[in-house]
Amino acid sequence: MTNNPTNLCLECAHAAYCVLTHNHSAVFSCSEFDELQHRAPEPLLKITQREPEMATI
Amino acid sequence: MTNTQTLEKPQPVKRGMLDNVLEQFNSAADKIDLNPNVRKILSITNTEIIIHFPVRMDNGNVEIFTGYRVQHNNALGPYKGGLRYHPTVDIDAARALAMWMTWKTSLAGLPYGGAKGGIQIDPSKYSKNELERITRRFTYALGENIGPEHDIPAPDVNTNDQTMAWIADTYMSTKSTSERSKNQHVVTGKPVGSGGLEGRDRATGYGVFLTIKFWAEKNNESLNGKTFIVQGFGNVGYWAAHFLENEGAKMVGVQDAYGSLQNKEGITVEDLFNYGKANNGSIVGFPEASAMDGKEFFGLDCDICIPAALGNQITAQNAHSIKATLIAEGANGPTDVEGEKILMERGITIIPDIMCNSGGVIGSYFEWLQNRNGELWQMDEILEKLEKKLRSTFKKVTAYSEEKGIDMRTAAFAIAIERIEKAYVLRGIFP
Repeated sequence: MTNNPTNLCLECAHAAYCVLTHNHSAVFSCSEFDELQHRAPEPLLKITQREPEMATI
Repeated sequence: MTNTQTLEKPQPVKRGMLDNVLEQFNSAADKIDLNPNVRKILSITNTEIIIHFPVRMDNGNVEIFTGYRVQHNNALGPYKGGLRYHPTVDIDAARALAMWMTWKTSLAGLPYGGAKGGIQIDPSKYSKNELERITRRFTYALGENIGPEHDIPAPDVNTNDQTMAWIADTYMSTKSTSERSKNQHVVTGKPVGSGGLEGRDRATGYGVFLTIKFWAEKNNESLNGKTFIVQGFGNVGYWAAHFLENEGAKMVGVQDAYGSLQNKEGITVEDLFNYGKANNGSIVGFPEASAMDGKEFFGLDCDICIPAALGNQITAQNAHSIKATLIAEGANGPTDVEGEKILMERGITIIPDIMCNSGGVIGSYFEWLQNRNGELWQMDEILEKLEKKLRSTFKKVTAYSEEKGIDMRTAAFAIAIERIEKAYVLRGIFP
């Protein structure tokens, strides 16, 4: 069994300038945590709407 | 020849999260004189699963990942707890957080036990397609170790509604066609259009607000005109502030990862929220407030202090300077042992995290019920149900605290553990 302290700050986008704590060694939960690289969620299926066609007659 | 070699001083053993959670449990168990057999059961986890599984990457290579699921106790119902994706996920962290979930669901009066898990991974290093395959392969590997009536995962660090949608879809795909829709509640925290709960985003913050409101009602006080400060302006802090402002309270200080702001005349919550949205999430530079030194934040003059970001914020260093008469713990573990002792001596009330931020898991329970019963609940209905549930917990905790002459945190732990103890005493141990 390992006993490593959990450290969310390692992978947090705000780690470099965060003013909330200087004790980065044991943060296991933080509401301000953001992933280093933001990946915008994409829809599972892309639904594309047809362009309206001009009446030809 | 003299031997000049010096022996290295023995290094103190690092205290893990599990040690802290066990200490908390043992302290509460001592106070309630917990049945020694039940203590033995609750001191250890029921099931621990470690899975090494292969996933094909975008470049064609295969990588092996390690996933965990720890199920602490299910005396009250199916296991419930989050799945996090993070490099520091390990069995020790999962054990501690699973145990914590058991107390939380028990105190909230939910028919759940406690679990936690995740994958040891840095998600920023993988593409969305790779993360989808990793999630789906992990779900497949977990197999029947999760299930809508057995163990119900939820989002946690680096996992979100999309992750839950992948898990639900994969799990449901392993069932026969006619059984699939019966299994949608295998996870909670799904997208609203895919079985998720309306208002899940505000459930925790609303719960924080409600516990403050119940405290005010109990003390025959009005929130109108009360001043508050909030640390963290994410989902928890923002929504708590939003609902407090609606009741006439005034936000006089706020802190996020970027900086700290104050204004004795009040900071309009919605204006700050909109400012943050337009500034990449940062509150710094908001024109209606002035910047301040973060170290002085908790010493701001106010009635209510809401630490809603992270742990170990109120300590022996700053507890003496706190002016608030109420601390509402929106975050997990924001007050450390020394800090709490000082606050108690000063007569400052603490609404403990295990109750204060339980709105989220109660919201998860509602989502599970909604899916299980084939219903779709409206927002007002959900907030009303949440209020009823939390009010009941708040009443129990305050009554227990007054009856036994103990603080609310100890009372909350005692109620949570006694509820599980009662279940064991009533049903006995097989065989």
